[in-house]
Amino acid sequence: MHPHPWPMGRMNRRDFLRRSAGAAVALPGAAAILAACTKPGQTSRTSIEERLLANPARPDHPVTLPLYQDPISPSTPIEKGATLQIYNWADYLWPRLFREFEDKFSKYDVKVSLTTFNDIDGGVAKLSAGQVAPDVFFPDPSELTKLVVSKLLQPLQHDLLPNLAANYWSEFQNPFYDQQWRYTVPYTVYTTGIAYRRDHIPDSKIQSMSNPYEILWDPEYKGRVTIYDDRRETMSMALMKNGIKDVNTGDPKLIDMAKDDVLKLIDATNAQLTINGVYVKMAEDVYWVGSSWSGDVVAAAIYYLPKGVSPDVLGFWYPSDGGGVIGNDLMVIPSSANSPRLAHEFVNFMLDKTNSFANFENWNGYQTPMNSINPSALVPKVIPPSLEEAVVVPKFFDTGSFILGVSPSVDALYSQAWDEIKAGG
Amino acid sequence: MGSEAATAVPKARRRAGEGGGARISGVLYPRWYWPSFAGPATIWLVLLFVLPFYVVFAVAFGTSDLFGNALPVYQPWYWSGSTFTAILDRFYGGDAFYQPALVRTLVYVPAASLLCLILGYGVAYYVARHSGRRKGLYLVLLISPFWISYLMRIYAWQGLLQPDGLINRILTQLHVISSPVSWLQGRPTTVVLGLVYGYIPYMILPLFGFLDRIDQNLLEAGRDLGAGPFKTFVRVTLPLSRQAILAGMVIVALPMFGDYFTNDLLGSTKTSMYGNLIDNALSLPGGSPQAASLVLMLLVLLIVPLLYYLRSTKRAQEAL
Amino acid sequence: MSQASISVRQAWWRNPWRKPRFLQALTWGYLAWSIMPVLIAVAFSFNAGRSRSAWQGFSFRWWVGDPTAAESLLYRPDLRTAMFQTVRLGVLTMLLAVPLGTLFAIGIDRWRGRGPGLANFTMLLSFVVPEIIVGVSLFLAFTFLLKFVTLGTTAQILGLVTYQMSYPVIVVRARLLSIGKEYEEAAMDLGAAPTQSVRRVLLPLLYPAIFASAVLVFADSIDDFITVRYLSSTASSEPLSVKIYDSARAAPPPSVNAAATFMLVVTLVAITIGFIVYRRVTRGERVEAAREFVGFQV
Repeated sequence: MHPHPWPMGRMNRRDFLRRSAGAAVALPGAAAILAACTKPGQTSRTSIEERLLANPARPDHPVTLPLYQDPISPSTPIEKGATLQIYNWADYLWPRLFREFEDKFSKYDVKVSLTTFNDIDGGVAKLSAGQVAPDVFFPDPSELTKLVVSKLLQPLQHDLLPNLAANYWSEFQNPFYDQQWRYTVPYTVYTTGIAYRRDHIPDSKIQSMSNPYEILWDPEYKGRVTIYDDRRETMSMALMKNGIKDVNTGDPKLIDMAKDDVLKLIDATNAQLTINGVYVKMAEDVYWVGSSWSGDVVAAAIYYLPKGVSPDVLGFWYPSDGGGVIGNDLMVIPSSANSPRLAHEFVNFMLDKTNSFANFENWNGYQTPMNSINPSALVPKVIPPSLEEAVVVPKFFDTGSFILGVSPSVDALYSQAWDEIKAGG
Repeated sequence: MGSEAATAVPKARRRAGEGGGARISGVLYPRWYWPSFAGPATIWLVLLFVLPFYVVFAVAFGTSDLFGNALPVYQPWYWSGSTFTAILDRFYGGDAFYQPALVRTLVYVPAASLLCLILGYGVAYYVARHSGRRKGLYLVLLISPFWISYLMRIYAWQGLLQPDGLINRILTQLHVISSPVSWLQGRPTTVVLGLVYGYIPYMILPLFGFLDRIDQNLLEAGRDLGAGPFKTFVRVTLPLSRQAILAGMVIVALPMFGDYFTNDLLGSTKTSMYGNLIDNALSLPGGSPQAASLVLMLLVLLIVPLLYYLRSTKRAQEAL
Repeated sequence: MSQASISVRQAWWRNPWRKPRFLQALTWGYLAWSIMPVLIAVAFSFNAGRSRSAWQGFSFRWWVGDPTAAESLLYRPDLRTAMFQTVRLGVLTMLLAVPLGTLFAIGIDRWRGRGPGLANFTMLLSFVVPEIIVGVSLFLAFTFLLKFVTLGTTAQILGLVTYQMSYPVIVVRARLLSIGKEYEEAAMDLGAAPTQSVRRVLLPLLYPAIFASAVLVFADSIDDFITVRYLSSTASSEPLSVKIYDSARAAPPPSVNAAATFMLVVTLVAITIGFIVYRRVTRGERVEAAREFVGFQV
């Protein structure tokens, strides 16, 4: 069990300093004059935030995120009659688990309501605009620093999350992007590779290619290619195709090259930017090849294939040296949460090994980094043999490339490149 | 308002009404009486239509914080045009990557509106003049698409146009095509037809309303003077419907300029339109100033047709 | 081809009041084109499989099937919430927009001076400006300036009323111009007070127009997408149109079709009841209302 890993004294001291500084400036009248004279938009920021944003977390540069408030007390009562607002990707959490959670807390008269976002940028945009005020949100590490320094998240009370330390891979104990697990717990792990219909594209074709990423550019599959409608993911795929392993690069030339390559891909194959291209539409035989999260192609096999179609029709390629794109999604509790205690209960509920496995096995196809799941035993029980490469093993987190936060100026480069791709050439 | 043109009120009767107007508003009613009727809606418009435009300016010409979140600036003397000019540069110049989307919009919208007009006029004309006693049935059928969500209908088209969808299956069966056509992979035809499909009811109904009220005697007079049906149509019906056509074109074309969901569901980035630029900007991190700038530019683009239309309807009203 | 058949054809061609076969075919073609997708959407709500392009047999699976799978309309609380939100937005918008617009139309019609011109211009502008402009500007306004308006149902209704108010203004004003002022004057000559003449004489004359605009506002509000999407908050404020759009980009189960079908039936029933009630209130004016409804224009 974690004792409070953060010293309370520091919080109080800083709070005190800030307040006294505020009092000195806020002389009546003077403040009004100051407000009228300074150009709006120039807010002062402590250098901690600036430094954090400029030097985001990397595996060799672990980051301890700052605290702006205390976690809720472990003795906070469970909110009665609350509707727990979950903010997540669509089709990413088994609806039956919501019902089970409601049943488990039925004496508190709890309801669960799911709001979905279409891509992570849209999800973060809605959260930071205050458009939604969820209790539990599912971002990835690339957005984390920004969310924390914008004070959009609240620290977790680990006393209320006993399942966390008990169940997780050692790689995910004390992760580099959030030392001491102050704000996040892992939800799923995945790789990004290439999914394809084996009834149209033989395994040998992909295996024999010196650079299998290039299959997405192959005009032979015109009209049958899907790539993700996700800014960083698709840019990373294009960087990888060019042999750039640093998918967080800030080099404008490389970003430009990746963008041009994506435009070329769309031009050559009429590729669609989708989120459901693999798990729904490849299962329906609409698309034959596409950039794919490992969990999406597994979900296609276990849930979305039409009745009577063998899961053998789906194939998945991931670099055999483990050097492809990897990622993990997180569970966080926003500072706007109306039911923080219940939110902790829900996170802990999802960290339960039975629930977490049920979610993976029956619904979303995304592995969790749990000790109770033995990756080598997943085939063929959960994952069909043709999708063996979609199994995520802990080793990948040493060899793969993680999509992580970048400094605001680099982020703007990625945004502009993406905007150009979406505007259509 | 063009309705006056359409309602074709007998002039004498309207004049009489006009004469009495002074008395109604001047003598028996207190000065504040009629304005107070219009008051609530006017205040509503000022607060929720005019004021938000000011916020759009404040965001477009404002700044951003460290995280790229918009910080609107409400004092015009502090406004900065940097975002606005950066966006403008994307429409022309060396790296004008918004230009194709603008060009597409300027081609698709007129094409779709024109198709709406041709098809819509034919249908409205037929129902107004030739449907006889079944007019009511036709009307119900014309209105029927309104009762199910537009999104649902476009979404149904998505299923119909898929590689294994009904359209491809019928066309393959009839040997029109040998292998399924990927209708949904960024084909301008699909997007334009999608727009026509979505907006044409808004063209047909005003046209029908007008054509239905044309005085039969005018047409018979044309015939008596020796004009054939075609000539009667060209010389009498068409000129009379000028204002209704203009109204229909405005009602269908203007919303198309902001449409993004038709392309989202039936096209791809290859057929992105102006509306997609705005919607994309809103879901980018810190994209509000960009979206606000795009909204202002769209308004500038449309202000001439907007004002022309409002002026011509006012004229038509005065001519009555 | 025989001489006789040519002359029959010519005779048909020469007849100025002949049935225009081409236009008839065009109209039927158009109706088929416009209605077919609706029918297909309804049909696929009864599909036995998930697909919405391949028919896999008839079933009520997406309507009432299996509570544990939580995929049928009956056991998808989110779809029920979406339908409820759709109807709620439609009704509340109608209740606010129609009175506001009707009063505005009467006021503008009678009020002399410079004010009405500007107010009317703004009103018409709100009618013709593309909806995305209204939607985005309200979103920015509620996010940055009018922060006391929380996004969600309140913001959506404010937005919808702003955008829909012009319908009753246009329809009612057209009616006002066609009825003229002599009825009111007659009433006042007979000793009616100003308020009385408005309530007892003018309003009843306007009923067809008010009814028609109420139907228009309701129909357009439940179909609205752009404004309600930008002003939505969590799932409980997302009406069916937003739900359909989001589903189309994810894994759309045919229960979404079932929800849209259900809404279609509810709307048709509501309109029919409304029409019957209306006929009771204003005997003999029903043709007028139908005309008013389809004949609206700016």
